[in-house]
Amino acid sequence: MSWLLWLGLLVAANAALFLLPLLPALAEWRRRSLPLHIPFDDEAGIIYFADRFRQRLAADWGNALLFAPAAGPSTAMVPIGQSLHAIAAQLPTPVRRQYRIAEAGEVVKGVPRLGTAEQPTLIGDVVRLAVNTHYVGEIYARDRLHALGGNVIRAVLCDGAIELDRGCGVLRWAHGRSIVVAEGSRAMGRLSAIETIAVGQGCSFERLSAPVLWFGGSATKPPASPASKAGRTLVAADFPDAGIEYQPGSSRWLCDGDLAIPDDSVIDGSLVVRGRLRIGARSRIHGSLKAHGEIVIATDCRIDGAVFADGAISIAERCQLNGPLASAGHVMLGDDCVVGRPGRPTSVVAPTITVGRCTCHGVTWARRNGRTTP
Amino acid sequence: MIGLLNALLLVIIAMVLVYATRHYLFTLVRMFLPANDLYCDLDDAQWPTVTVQIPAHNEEDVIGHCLDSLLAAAYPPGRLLLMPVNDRSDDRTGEIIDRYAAEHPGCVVPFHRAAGKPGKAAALKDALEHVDSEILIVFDADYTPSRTLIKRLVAPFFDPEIGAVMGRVVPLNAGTNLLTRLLEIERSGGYQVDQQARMQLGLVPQYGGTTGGVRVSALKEIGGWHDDTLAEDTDLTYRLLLAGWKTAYQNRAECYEEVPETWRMRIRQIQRWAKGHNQVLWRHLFALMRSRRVSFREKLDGVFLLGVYLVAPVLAIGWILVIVLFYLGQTLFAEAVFLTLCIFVYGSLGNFAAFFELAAASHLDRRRDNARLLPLVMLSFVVSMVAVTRAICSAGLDWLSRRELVWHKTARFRR
Repeated sequence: MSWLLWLGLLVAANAALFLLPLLPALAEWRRRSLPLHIPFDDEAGIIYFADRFRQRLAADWGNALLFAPAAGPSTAMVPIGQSLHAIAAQLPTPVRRQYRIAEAGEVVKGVPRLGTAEQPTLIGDVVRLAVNTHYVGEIYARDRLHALGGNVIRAVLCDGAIELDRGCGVLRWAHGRSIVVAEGSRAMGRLSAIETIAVGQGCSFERLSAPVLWFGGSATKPPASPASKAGRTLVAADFPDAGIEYQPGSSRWLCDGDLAIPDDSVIDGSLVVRGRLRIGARSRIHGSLKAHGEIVIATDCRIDGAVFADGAISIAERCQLNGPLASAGHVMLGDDCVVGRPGRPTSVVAPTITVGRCTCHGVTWARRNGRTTP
Repeated sequence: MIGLLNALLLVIIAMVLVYATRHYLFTLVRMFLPANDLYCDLDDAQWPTVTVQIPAHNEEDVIGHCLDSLLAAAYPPGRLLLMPVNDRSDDRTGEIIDRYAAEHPGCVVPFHRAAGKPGKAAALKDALEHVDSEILIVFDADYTPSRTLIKRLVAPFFDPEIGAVMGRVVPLNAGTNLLTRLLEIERSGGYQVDQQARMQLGLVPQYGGTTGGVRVSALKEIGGWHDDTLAEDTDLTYRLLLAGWKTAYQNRAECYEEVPETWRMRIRQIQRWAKGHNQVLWRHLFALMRSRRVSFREKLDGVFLLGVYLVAPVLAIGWILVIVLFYLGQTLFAEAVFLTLCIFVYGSLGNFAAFFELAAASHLDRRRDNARLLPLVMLSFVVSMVAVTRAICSAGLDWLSRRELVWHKTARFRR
C-alpha cells in the first residue's frame, strides 16, 4: 500500500511540476475574452474629432449653436435662437464652468506659453485671439475665428472662416468652412474645410482636406492643357534596349530597369518600371505610373491616372495630375501644378511633401512633415 | 545507414532553420521597421467600379448580416454592385438573397447557380462571366465588413502594378473556447506579422480568397479562376505573380470572420488548405523558378511560401529521426559536435520561431495577455502537424488513384 501511495505522490509531484509553468496559460484560458477591437471606421476620418466636439457642444448647448447662411449672396452665417449668454444662464453650473464666452469685439488673451494653465472651452460668434498668446482649450466660433499672429491653438471648430495670421500653430485639428493659414505657420494634425484651405509660403502641415487646397499664395490658375500640343504616340517597340514588355489586356508597359520618356511624348497606357522613371517635358500619359525607384516628371506634363513610387516623386512646374499621388519617400510639387480637378478630388500622400505655389483638390497628407516653399 | 539518417537529419535541420530565420526576420521587421504603406491613406480619389461577390452555399444563417454590412458600405453610389453567388444551396439562402435583390434593385444583383462543379472556385468562375466592373472583391458569407473596408481594399488598385489585394481577417468568435483563442493568436501572427512583413519587404503577400480583391482585367488576362484547385486563392496569387502582377496586403483593411469552434472542423479546414496549397506548389514551383518577370527575392519568398505546408511533416520526420538516432547509439555530446549544435539550435530556435512570431503579433495587436496562451499553442501546433501530414499522405494517394480533390465547406456557428 505504501509503495502505491509513494508512486501516487511521485506522479502528482511530477504533474504539478509540469503544470506549474502552465498556470498562467490555464488562468488566461479561463478568462473571458472579447474579439480584437477593429477601430471604428470614422476614427480615421479627417473630421472625426470635429464631429465629436460638435456632439459635445450640442449636448451642452442644444439649439443655441444652430446657425444658418445669411440671406443674399454673402457666405456669412447667422445664429439662430437665443444669444450664448442667455443660454449659458440656464446651464447647470458645472457645465457653465467648462466654457468661456468670447464677447463681441473682445480680443481674447490666452496664456503666454503652453502648459501654464488649464483653459476652458472658448465659445463665441466671432473669436479673436491676442497676438503671441496660446489657447489650449478647444475653441468654437459660430461665425469667424481670427488668430492675430504668433498664436498656438489646440483645436478649433468654426462654422465660418478660420484665419490664422503669420506664425500661428494648430496642435491637433481645425475644421471650418474655409481656412487661411498665413506665412510661417505650422498646421499640425488635421485641417479640414468645407470649401477651401489656403496655406501661405513657408508653412508646415500634416493632413489637409478640402475641395480646394491652395498652397503658397493666391489661387493657382490651372495650367494650359499640354494635350493641345501634338505629341508623338510612343509604343514599347520604340525602346528596344529598355527591356519593356507590353501587356495589351491591361495596356501596361512592364520595364525591368530605368526608363526615360522623351519630351513631347504621348503614352496610351500605364507604365510599371522597376527602376527610375523620367517623363519628358510636355508629355501626356493616358494611364498611371509606378516606379520602384524615383519618378521625375518634367514641366507641362499631364498624367491622367495615378503616380506611385517607392522612391521620391519630383514634379516640375505646370503639370496636371488627375489621379492619386503617393510616395514612400518625398513628394516635390512644383509651381503652378494642379492635382485633381474641381469635383474630382484626389490624394497626395507621402512621409514628406514640399509644395510650391500650386493647387490640390482633395487630401494632402504628409505623414511626417509637409512644407510650402518660402 | 546511420550516416544516411544523419545526412537526412541535417537536411531537415537546415530546412527548418531556414524557415526559422524567415520567421525571425519577419518578426524583427514588424517590431522595428515602420510600415510605410503607400495605399492606406488614400482618402479621396475617383473610385473605380466594384463588384462584391459573396459565394454562399447553404448560408441562410449568415448571408443577411453580410449583405446588411455591405449595403452600409461607404462607397460612391452607383459604383458598387453586390453579387451574392448562391451556389447550389438547398436551404433558404436563395430566398434571402432574392429578397435583398428586390429591396435594393440595381444594387444587389444575385447570381444563382443550381448545378455545376461544387466548390467556391467553380462558383466564382461561373459568376465571373457576369462581372463588368474594374475591380472584383470577394467576401465569404460569414464576414461582416465595416463601412470603409471596400475603399481600403480598392485603394491599392490605383497602383498599376497591383493585381490583387488582401485584407486582414479577425476572429469574431475568439472568446468561445480554447480553440478559437488559439486560432485568434495564429491569425494574428499570420496577418499582423507574416503578411505585413512580406508586404514591407516587397516579397509575396498572399491573396487569401476572402476580404480581398482582384483587378478584373488581370484576372481575365490570366484565364480567370481555376476550378480544379482547392486553394484558388494561392493559385491566383502565383498566376498573377507569374504574369507580372503584385498582390498587396492591407493590414488596416480588417474584417471579422468566424473561425472553427470544434477541433474536427479545424482539422478538416487545415487539411483542405494543406492539400490545396501543395497542389499549387507542384503546379507553379518550376514556373516560378524559371520566370524572368519575378525578382530573385520574390522567387525566394515565393518558394518558401509554397513549401510552408511541407514544414509540418518534415518537422515530424526530424523529431522521429532524432529519437531513432539516439537509440541507434548516436551520442550527441562527443563525436558529433556539429550535429549536436544543429539539433540544439533546431530545438531551441527552429521549433519555436513561430511562437516568437505569435508573441510579437500579440504585442503588436495590444493583446499581450494572449501571449500567456503560447504554451497551449503547442497543442494546436501538434494537431496541425498531424492533420497536415495526413492531408499530404491523402493527397499522394489521391494522385496515385487519379481521384479528384473534393471541396468541403467550413461549418458556421453563428445564428
